[in-house]
Amino acid sequence: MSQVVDRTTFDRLVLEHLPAAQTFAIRLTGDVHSAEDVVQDALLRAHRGWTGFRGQSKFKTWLFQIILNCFRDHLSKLASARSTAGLPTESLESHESGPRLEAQSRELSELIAAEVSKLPARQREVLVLMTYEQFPIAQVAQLLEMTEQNVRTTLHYAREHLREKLARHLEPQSKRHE
Amino acid sequence: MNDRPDQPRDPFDDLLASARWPEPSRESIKRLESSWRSLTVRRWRIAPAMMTAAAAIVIVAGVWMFLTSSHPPAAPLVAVIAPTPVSLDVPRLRGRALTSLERSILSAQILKESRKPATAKATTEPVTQARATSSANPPIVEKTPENKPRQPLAAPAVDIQLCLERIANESTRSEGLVMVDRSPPPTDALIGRLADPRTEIRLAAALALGRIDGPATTRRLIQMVADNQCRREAFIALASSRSKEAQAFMQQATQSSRLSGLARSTLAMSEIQHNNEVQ
Repeated sequence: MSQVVDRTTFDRLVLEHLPAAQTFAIRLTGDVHSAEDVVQDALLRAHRGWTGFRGQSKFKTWLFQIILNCFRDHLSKLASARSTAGLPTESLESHESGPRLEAQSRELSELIAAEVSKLPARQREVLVLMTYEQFPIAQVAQLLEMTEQNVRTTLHYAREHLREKLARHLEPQSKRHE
Repeated sequence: MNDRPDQPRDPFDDLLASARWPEPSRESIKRLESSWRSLTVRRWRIAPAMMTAAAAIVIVAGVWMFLTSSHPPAAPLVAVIAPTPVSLDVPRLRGRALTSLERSILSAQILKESRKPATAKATTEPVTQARATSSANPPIVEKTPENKPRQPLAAPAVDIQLCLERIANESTRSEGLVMVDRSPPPTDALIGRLADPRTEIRLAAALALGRIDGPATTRRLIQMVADNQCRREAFIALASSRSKEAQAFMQQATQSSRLSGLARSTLAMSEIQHNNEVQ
């Protein structure tokens, strides 16, 4: 099917996918405020270019493509301002009560998320789309305009990068899993 | 997920799967939903109205040019607000150039402001008068923007809550804004309402602040943006403001890497809001 959907349907689709879009943006940027700005930008572009969605792909894919483009614009502005993207301290919840192990586990979860959001942009996009958004490799390749082999290679580098960063947390984890 | 799906599950996958990012707040989702609804609802009213407005502007401009070319107007008495230089504390960062649409939105707003009389609305800021140079040398009379003699300042204090609820309601918004014009609520009270738990009241307070305007208010709003305090609402107030300082700040913000996304989206919504008021 290759025809423009009606506006009412389009509006409903946008609102339905808004929480998922925001979650995706948070995973990419690592920052709640930046994610909101990225999604705000994406909504503007979606509003202007809504006739470009012709139902050829899933709406989520189309919307996430826009978010990826806005994310890249966001990164290039940050690069030009010489700042690094990462989880700011206010986004981390501080829990002063609760069992120590539970708190350590929560801190580790947040640390892993922070490291993912600090990966080089391309590796970050591939890892988030495949591991956390559960996109199939073919769709990731289409979204990122790469070949499937490139996607696999980039994912491998991303995992190796994280393995290196999280090495000191891996050994106790792997011992617990045994 | 492994990078090679045919291989057995790697324990590292469990570690990756345990990653937890902060959840989007309900307020944040509501703001985005509200932004989307503002974009979509107004869209249907704008297209035909814009064509009609454009045609009307062309006709009026033609008639005005014809009249002024044959009958040059007498130099009007104007009360001007002395421009106060504002040092913007927000760091100026380079970002991408404005797109043609963004440039046209900004230009349209600035052009509209430049076409309005210098005192488009009553203001509580100090006013300096300029003596007109005309051969008749008429006496200087302090006048309101509507060219009526200034009324004594005996208007009763406005009920802020009533005023904001009028502004929050689309059908009574213009009435609420007239209330602000006639009897501006205290700026401190309105700034406090920018943090109200209800979205419509926050928006109403922002619109009221934009209406009140003034260099001191503009500076406070800019500081709030810099301090990330009710940033979005402060942006809406600045975008609604007609002062040169506020517009200069908004233009700078569109070029800032930190603020450009928010600034552009707020300007776009403000333009739609303004068109709706004109209708």
